[in-house]
Amino acid sequence: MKIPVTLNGNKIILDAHADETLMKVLHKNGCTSVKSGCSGGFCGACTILLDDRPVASCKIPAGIVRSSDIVTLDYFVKTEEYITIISGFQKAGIKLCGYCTAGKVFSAYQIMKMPKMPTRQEITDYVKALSPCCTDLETLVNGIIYAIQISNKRQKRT
Amino acid sequence: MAVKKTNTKTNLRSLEAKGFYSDVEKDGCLYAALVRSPAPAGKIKSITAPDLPEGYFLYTSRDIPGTKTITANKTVTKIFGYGNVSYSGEPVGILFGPDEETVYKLLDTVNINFDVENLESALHNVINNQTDEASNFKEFVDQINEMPSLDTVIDKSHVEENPNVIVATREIKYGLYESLTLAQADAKLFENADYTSTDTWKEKLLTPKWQETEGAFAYTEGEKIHIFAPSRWASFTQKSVAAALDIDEASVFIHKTKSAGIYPSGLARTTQLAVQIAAAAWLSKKPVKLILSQAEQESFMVPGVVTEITYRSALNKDGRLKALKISIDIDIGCSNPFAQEITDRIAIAAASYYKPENLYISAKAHTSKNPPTSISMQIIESQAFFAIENEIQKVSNLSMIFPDELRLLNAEPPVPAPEEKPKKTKKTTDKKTKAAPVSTEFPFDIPTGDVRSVIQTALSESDFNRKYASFHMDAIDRAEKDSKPFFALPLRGIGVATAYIPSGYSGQTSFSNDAKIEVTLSADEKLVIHTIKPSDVIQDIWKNSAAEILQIPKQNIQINSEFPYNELPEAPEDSYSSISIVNELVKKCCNDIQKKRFHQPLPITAKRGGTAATAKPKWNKEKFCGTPFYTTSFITTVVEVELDTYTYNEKIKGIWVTVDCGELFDEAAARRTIRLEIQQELTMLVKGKTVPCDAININFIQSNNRSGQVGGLIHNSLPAAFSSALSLALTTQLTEIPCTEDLLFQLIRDRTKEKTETRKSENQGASE
Repeated sequence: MKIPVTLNGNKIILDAHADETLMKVLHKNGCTSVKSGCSGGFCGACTILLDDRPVASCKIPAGIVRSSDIVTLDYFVKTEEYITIISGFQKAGIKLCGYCTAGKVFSAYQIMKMPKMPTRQEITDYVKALSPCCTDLETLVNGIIYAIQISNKRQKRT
Repeated sequence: MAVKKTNTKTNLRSLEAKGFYSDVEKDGCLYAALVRSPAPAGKIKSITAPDLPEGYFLYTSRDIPGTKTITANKTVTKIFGYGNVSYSGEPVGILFGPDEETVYKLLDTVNINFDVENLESALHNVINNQTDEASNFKEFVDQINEMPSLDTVIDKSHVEENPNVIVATREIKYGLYESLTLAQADAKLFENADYTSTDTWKEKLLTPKWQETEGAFAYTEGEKIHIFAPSRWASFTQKSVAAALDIDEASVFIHKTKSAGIYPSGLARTTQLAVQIAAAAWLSKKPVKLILSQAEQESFMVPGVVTEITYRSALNKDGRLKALKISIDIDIGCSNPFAQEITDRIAIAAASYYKPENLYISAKAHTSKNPPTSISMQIIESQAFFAIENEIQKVSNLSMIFPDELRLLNAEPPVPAPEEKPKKTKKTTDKKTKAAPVSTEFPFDIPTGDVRSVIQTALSESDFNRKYASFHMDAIDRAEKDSKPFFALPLRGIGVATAYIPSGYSGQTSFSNDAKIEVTLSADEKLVIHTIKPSDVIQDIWKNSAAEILQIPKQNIQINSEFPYNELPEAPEDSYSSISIVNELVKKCCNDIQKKRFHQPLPITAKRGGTAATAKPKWNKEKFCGTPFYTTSFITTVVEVELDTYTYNEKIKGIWVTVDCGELFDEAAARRTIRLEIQQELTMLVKGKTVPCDAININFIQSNNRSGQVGGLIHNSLPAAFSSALSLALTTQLTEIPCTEDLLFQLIRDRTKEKTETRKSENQGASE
């Protein structure tokens, strides 16, 4: 079936089976940041922004994303938010393996959008299910806190 | 040492590819799936797919233009199964085409014919001939009854050679086992021992679901072929592809992609996949990609080997191990090129750093009808540590001696009794001697550093002895009162385990671990370290060391893994990732350059190689004794566990870890590595769930020991500490990991049943 979507800022028509996972469809369309992990929606390897919310694309059938706005990490890396997040991660000593990056970056993005500053425990609860392939939980939480601090500083400056 | 001016090398190829193999795409890429044998035995007659749509291909062993097997370390593996099937699920062909979904659907249409009809295909025929009408039911039953029996349908000639062939053995004797027969020594050591214990331990290694599954991508470019795979043995992959396609090695380009798995793979099995996909790309002249499914990864690419270790221990009242008799059974699946090395390493680790007065180890590795296995240097000893540490905990419980005291006591070399004290001679082969003299030296000298401090720090940090005594008393009380654990408060237990992770094994049977390294400082103060790229953390450590010695900015240092195609390192990459050895070589090269730097014009190149620049090998390969490792890092892990008796949910109240890895290059990175490994291990202790943990406490002790690696220490110690803690909580012995709710329920039920039976027999005796 033909599925019109906005993918990474471009209006395109995806050609896919309605029950095919969005993860496979996006990967086939050149979005290599969308990885196949646990296929259960937990590990975060296949995370994308669907209408600006992080979702596990392995659990989403392609048929239901008609007219949605999809952003993958391949495109998100060009944004200022990404630079902020990665700066925070680097400050915490995080060296991402590349397979889980989407899950960790988009989780940080969602936490940074929260209207009030989350507590350490809230951040831990939000990210604890992500795959522990390259970064431990404590360091990841530190990275997100640093990212929030960098973002706040930037906002004050502007 | 060699210091010379740089020379330019031609035909250099970069091994490193960006990203993961699954990300590599080419226009017109075809997707592949492996056709697997449905039966574990039988002789394949033909493999056909009559209704393949246009653009879809099926290739089998017959289509391979060159050698149809790959040979690693004298172990022959078929690229695609032919002739006799080795195991159920053996790849016998590759099917590929433009649509992945269709490829998987077409797999069901492939006919694999065996020369003797086996039971499964006979059943298929009956089912296919069956019509829907109920009146034909009698006919269907008759057909089933007429089917040949299992004995006749499986052709015995094709069940062939015994699948359980012993491929590697190792026997180690020390003390009375050297001078007496096994039975005599056993009788003398076990019959009058104060405490004895026998148990069998199993640790199954799980495949995490969140990692990239194995696979490869290949495409052709004229007469050249490019293969993208997470290989850690590029030279072997290159040779195997060239031989299978019957082309020159110069035409094969291996691109080593990233790997995100926690158990490093990339050896013989990855090469087999790479050759399979290379054959598909070469024959079809199209780009082809193969990604194994999660189910295939879990079934056919299992990490490590299946091991069962049985201990028989004899202990005296003081806590000294009088005898340790260890029997190790290793199932390597249908093949494993590193069987001897695995057997040797597990045999050495089975005694850990303990020095019992008498020791007998018998290790055997055998083949089976299971999928082939591989070696992972970082986790090779983990199953042995799981076994020995649980055994030590068990004898500690039996003898009522604190686990730390028992461990420290048995870490010391045995002191022979004065009347039995033999002369300081090694075992001799002099036939004139009436009785073989007993060697005074323990077979293994493990360089463990400051064991006492490491154990005591972890125990004092965790308040282990107080908690252990309290939980132990509570456990005894519960067992005696026979209180029903199902209606009790959460059960608590605490366990400790010690382990080491070695660097630079001297007894390698397959390859030497002689790392080679070349460092060049150019006129613009840029430093290039030429070797296989290690992990980011190790790269950082090398760069820091080099920057410090040469006083140059860290950004000026690069690691280059470009090699001419005929000079790729012959051994798998594991020998390069040994931080202690290669870091020392990097330092020596940098020091060589620093000495020459102000006397000689730049560029200057320094080359170093060898297992360890300074250490002479102290390992006797023939007698299998001495110091087997260049260095080790040592760990003590304490785990306090709580088990909810209503839900069977385990919860870890705290993990306390103390590590001695010699000189620490980057403490923050080491701490992160330990925390990450704990988090990974918590996902694998209990099948299907992650055990939550409240607190993690990590300490480092810097001894005079040579610097060793940190990675792998948690995997070697945490499972044993967890199972010891859980055993104490349950007042019964957990002998395998990962545990399941069913296993826990069964253990509790068995203990209660045993208690009831004992009580009944006691009552019966009293009434009589």
